[in-house]
Amino acid sequence: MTPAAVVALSCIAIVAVASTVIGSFGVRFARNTSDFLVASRTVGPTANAGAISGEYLSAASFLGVAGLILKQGPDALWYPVGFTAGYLALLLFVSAPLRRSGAYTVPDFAEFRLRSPAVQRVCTVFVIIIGWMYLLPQLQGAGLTVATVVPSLPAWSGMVAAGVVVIATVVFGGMRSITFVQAFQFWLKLTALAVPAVVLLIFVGGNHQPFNRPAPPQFPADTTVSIKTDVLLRVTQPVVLQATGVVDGTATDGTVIWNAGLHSVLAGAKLGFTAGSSVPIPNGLPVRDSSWLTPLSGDSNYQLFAIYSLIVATFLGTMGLPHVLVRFYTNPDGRATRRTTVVVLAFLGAFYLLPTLLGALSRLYVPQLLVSGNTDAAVLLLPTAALGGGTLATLLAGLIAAGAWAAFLSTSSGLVVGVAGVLATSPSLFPRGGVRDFRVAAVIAGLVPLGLALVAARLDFSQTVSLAFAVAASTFCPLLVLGIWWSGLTDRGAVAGLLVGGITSGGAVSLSLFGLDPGGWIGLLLNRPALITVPLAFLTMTVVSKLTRKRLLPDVPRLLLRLHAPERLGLSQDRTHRLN
Amino acid sequence: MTKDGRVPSVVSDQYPEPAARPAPPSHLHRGKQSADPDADTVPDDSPMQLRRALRRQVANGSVPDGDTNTDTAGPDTAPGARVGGGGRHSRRGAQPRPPRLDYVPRHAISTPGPGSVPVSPTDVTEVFSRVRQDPTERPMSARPESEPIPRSARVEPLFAPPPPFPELEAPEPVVPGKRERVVLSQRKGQTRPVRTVVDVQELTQVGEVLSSSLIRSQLALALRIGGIALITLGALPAMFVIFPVLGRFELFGLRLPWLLLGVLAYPFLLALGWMYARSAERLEQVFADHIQN
Repeated sequence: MTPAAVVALSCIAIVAVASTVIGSFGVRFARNTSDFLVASRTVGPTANAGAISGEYLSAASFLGVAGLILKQGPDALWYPVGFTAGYLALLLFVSAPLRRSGAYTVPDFAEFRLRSPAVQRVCTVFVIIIGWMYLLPQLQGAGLTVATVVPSLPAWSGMVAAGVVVIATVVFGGMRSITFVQAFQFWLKLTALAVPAVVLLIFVGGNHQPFNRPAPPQFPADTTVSIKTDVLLRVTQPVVLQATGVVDGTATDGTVIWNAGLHSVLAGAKLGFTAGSSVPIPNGLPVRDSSWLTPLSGDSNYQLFAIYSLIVATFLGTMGLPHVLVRFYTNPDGRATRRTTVVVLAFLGAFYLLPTLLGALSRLYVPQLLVSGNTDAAVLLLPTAALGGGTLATLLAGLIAAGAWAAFLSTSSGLVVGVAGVLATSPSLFPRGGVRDFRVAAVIAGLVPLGLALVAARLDFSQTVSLAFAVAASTFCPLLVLGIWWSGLTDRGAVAGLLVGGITSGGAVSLSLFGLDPGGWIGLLLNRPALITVPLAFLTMTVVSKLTRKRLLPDVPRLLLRLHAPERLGLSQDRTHRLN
Repeated sequence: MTKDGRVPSVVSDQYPEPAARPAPPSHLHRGKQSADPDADTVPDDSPMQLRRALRRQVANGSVPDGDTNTDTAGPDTAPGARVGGGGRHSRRGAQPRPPRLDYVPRHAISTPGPGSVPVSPTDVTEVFSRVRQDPTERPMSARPESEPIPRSARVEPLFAPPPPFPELEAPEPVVPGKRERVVLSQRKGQTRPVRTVVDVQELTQVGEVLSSSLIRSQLALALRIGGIALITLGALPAMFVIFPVLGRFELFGLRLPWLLLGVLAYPFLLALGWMYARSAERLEQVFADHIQN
């Protein structure tokens, strides 16, 4: 094991231990179920905003955004912008009323608003689906990080370690301690990207190749790339390389000359490039640096649709994510909830500047990731590649590994709390709904996705995550928005909308998660379903509600008033009594 | 009104008007009021200074409205309403308290609203006598239900540090009378604020109008801000397609798309969020003040 690997591994271990320790300190203050689940609703706006941001900035944000920028250029900037703008939508349409409903989870809210066990059950199912879908890339990210910094360790060891730490933190700490842990992890993540960004700017500064070259990126040093999935590479300038494996349909072992055109490489091949040669780019991505710099420069004719669909999914999906919603219940009142959300917008904006910068720099220093397709590792490898080894690079790499680990831990524990909270408060599964049930639910909520992560194939983190956003936007967004602002929503309408939105988006998403990509419009719709499924869900919910107008609850106006009236009028009521 | 009836009610009030209590040492009552036997017997626990200053102000007519209200409870005069207003101001100004649903602002009821005309000292006697003649008469109708209370009126501090006047000779004739009136208005006040809150709680016609107007205005605000965000950000991809030159335009050493999406989008979203949170809070505040007063 190299010294760099030792440093990185120790950093990871320190983060894991620190999270657990802070968690166990927090639990001493937890005196009852309410403390345990919602931190007794006493967390202040800044601390809570730190916790929300810490929880929200996952593998997709910490690693994935930079990787996608490396691939796609400015088009990938829509991911972080959308991840942030989602909180604006949440602030505008959901935050304060949802807090005032006094509900703890979306199914709880559905029960409050529609008093229908059917809606509650459907919601529970979707919370679990979205939560697990979101957990998958987190655990895979933990595996990737460990496998990247310590090449001798297999990826599954990282996944299992992350899974165990997360479950332990949640089971023994509960929500109160999670709040501390999350806030700590937000600042850790910010530091872990800010320090390398500043150091790189100082050392590299303007002293690098220009971004704006009308040619593909070049390998900064001699590089060997291991191909893990089959890939079709586009070459624009002839390249000489050492190839082992199946290249262009024939088994090869030796020097190969690639002329301009497309070249296929099968999984298992190893390609050796010399410093200064042009990087072959996977088909469909912008090839030249100059076209990479400009928006909408890829091959696809459907990019505009893809971007708008991504905008819809991320803007409207955030409000439906289980770990985000649960966190808002820990605010003392609706007003504090709004303020918290505004602070979150500030925190996220500050954070996302960093992966953007690092992603752009990685185009210069780690372009070999384009060939292997493993662009999610860009941030992890950047310091060593840019600074050329040495103590500083080793320490920075360790810091980034620690930050990445914090990202998985915080998001995963938030998701596990969210899913476990829904499980534990759903009367059919856990009739008593106490702390012990919550712990059992947390173990279940963590183990299942761990099993999935061990067997599932891997997509880019940001893409997997945006699939989860699409499902959330097609199910919970219509339910929450219509439930909060429209008195005409009925239980039948809600169920119909949830099912239509959930099945269309979830179906499309699972097909693309299984690697099905027929190309063309169909492939695009499978990969980016939100632009169709979200309006469809809204429409279904509205139309079916109008058709079943007779089922309107008589006291809807009063329910709506409770959602919107300020607390000082004393109209709202917390619902944790069920948990006590 | 007997001493027994009045004293408890005054004492139980958390926001006593010190000026309304008779100060034992003062002997400058106007005839009518000094005849009041209760005047000096009420236990006095309010700070002397405050009382004196207020008395003085009342006598001088130097205090615009917040203070004069303690002197008036005239059923047919706007000032009568001020009694309520004054009490309310004092509460607000003095110290912020946690909201209590069961708390009924004393005067909220009888007031025509804070916008009413300030009482001039000359009104005092007349008003006072009227009150005593017909304690059941109420000025309730004066207050328009739907009109939000002007902010300026609400925040007037009544007992906020009284101007330190050196002369303590201020005439105190009004004092005993004041006290009675306060009691009266307090009793009268019992119903109305309760009714507004209950209106809203029970969603009577009035309550429903109030609450749906709150929801509508909040929704309009959210849609407005959301629309700004969506149109501004949503226009960008289309613009980059329609005008490809925008994608190559450089500003501050950065390509425009990188500058807009990588940097400026975040402060933009933050500013919108901040604007929304502020406006939404204000809408709620107006609503709550309205139905509580």
